[in-house]
Amino acid sequence: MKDSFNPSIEPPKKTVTLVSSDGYDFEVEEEVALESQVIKDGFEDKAVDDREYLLFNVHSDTLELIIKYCEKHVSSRKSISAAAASSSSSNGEEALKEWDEHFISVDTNTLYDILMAADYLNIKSLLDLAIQKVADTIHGRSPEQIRKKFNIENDSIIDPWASE
Amino acid sequence: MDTLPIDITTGILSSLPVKSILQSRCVCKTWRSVIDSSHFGDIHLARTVQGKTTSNLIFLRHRNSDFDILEGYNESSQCIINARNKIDLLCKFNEFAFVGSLHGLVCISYTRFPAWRDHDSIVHIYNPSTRDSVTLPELKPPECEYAKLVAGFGLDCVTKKDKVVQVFCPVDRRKYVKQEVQVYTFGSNSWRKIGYAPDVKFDTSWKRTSAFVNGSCHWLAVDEPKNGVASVVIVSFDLAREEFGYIPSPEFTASPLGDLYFHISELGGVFVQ
Repeated sequence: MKDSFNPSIEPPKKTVTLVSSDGYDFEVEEEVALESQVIKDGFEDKAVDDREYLLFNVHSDTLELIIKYCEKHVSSRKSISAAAASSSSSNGEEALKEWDEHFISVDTNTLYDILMAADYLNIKSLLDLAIQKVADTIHGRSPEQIRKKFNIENDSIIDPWASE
Repeated sequence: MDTLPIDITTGILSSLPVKSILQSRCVCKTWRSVIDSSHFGDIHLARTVQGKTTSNLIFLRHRNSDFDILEGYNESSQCIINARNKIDLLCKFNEFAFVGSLHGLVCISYTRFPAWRDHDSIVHIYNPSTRDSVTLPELKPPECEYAKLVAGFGLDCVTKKDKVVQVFCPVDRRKYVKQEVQVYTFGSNSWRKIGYAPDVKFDTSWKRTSAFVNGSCHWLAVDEPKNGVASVVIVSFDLAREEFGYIPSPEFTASPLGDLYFHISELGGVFVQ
């Protein structure tokens, strides 16, 4: 049986460089960077030797997490579709969901940074994941607990003089 | 979290079940303004329909005069919102009808004209997400003395404004046959008389329903030509052009006035009869 796909003769992977706001270079595979809709949108227009992206709004700590997330999702997608092609049973999606759950279980500040970065880079699945995490944190908490958890100033006390 | 872009904050808050949304209104001014914004109900509903959240609303009807809204976020935290407390359905023995629901708003109407009691001829718009309700202005007195009301609630596809339409169906059709129509456009704060409905007998029972599909409200009615056989028809009202039309009803084997009960509703944008 002939198999056209042979990993051993695959060409070397193309990479792009992502530069964090604090000046660190991250070299990542093209397909990992393309998880970001913002990078994807301008990708074709950019020269091949100039694939460097300055991400002014993303700190290296956050960028590291974002890359980890994108790498995981790219590789999971491949193994899920490979399993589907060979019609072997796979719990890949379930495992990825679990991985996501673990990935997003971070402290409030990190969650905030991930939200901002996912929005800035337009990575929809990560944005949805982070939004759902915040929503789950809010659910079942009183307004006071929510303020405390997310460090929100209480500006909504009704001022008795406000109407006068 | 209060410095997040509005879009993200909206995304977060619209993923919450109703009860949490209400509590979140009190967290800070930014959150309150997000929840109170006019398109929040739309977004919340869209997320709910997409299944992004497992929150859903089910309307339960008790007799004619009372209803509850059952909200389920997940199996462990169901809550029952008694909408009656909020909307203040003062006349316990009144008939009222669910006129329809649209982007998360529910329209409820009473049925008689003239008002037998103070609260007899009123249309409420209720938002289960925020539990706010709005009572529309009083209807203008119609030409006929006694009428039952048939209402529709939908969106004018041209102006993108919600409209409520009321048809006054005279109780004594021998004395008065013209069926006056009044339309309320959101933001206008008054009812406009726009003419008369076609000469058909609308279903005015409390079980009646209307369906908003493709920019038009639809009702069931019976066409009773003088020398012909009565037949069930679907009357439509285009909310943008404010014109009536007919849709031929499917043929049923039994007589339209026999033992069959007819019912129309909207199901994911299509018609069901």
